[in-house]
Amino acid sequence: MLMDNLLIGLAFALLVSSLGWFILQTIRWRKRARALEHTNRLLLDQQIHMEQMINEIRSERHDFIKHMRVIENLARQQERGILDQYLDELNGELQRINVLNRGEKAHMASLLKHVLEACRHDHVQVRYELEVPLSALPMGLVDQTKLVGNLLENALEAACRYAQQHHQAQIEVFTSVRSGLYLLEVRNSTLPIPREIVDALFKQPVPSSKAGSANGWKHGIGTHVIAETVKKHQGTLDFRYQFPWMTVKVKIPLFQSMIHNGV
Amino acid sequence: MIRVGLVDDERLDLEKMVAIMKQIEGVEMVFATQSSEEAYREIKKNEIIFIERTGRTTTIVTTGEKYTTYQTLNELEKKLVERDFFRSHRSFIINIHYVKNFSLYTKHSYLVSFYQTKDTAMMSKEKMEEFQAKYF
Repeated sequence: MLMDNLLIGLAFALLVSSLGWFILQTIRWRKRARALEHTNRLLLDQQIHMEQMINEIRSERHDFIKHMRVIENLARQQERGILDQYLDELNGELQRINVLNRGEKAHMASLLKHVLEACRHDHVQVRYELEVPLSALPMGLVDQTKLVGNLLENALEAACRYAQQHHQAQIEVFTSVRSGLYLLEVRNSTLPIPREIVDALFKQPVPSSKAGSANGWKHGIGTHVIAETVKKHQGTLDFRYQFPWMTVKVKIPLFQSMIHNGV
Repeated sequence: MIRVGLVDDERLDLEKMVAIMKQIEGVEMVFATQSSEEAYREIKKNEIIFIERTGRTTTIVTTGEKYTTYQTLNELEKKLVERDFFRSHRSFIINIHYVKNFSLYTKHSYLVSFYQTKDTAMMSKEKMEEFQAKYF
């Protein structure tokens, strides 16, 4: 009898622990699936941005001969004032893309351009101070996209919401290399963030602050993906929130095996 | 009449001298050499790339040459109080301004490569976290 009770107890304990293990595994895999789905969405978005950028560069090349003809005609007609104005405008257009292309590979250049255009649309000022290209981040291209894409996406979302209320907002991106560390800093305007959200930032997926978002986790997972990517590359992440600014600073050690062109 | 204290000009000279001495102390590090010809030697701190303790000898790698001393890393560390110097490992002090990059050495340590020398130092995994938290 005692033996039977012991066996039943043992079987019950085994069942409970198996169930617990199963639940834990399910949570773990669900979290992983969310992160993968988020990354997949980022990469698909980036592919679209890259295609748009290639089309824009193609059209620039296509228009080159036309611009040359206009310049030639204006020079012949000795329309100095109009010629100068035309050259200034043309130079501005070319510089817009050239600045983003400087040292950057296509995936990062297209991301920077996308952010720049989205910001222009939503009255957000952007400042890129890139001492080293983002493409030189010491990690693979997919991880670069995961890290920078999520950082910029979060900054853009927060700055746009701020701009809706205050009619102006800012995003600043800084990169540099110091003492074997790649430093990336993203600073953006933000509306007040509740304390419980600040405390959970970069530690666990936080609920999205996007109003009316039915699938909020899709957005909240971004900070979690950033933290995981930084951790994977033995880096550190630090953030400072002081209304109306959110500053995220990432430091990644430059490992010889991961150094790409540009550093 | 006996004069006590310093007149203004003399005080100014003394202050200048103290300032110069402080500057020298800040710029240069004095260490005991292993040579019988000269007991002590001065080197500019900003020329030190890293310092390594091997057995009972300490090697100071600079942009010019290497020096050896019997002084321990702890003794030298006290003279290198500037933020530029970091104890990256129990056997190494590195000058952060010469750090070029890292490579994985063991599961718990990294090799540090420098500008201006092919010699390498070590950094433990915990120290890497401290390094990132402390600088920049």
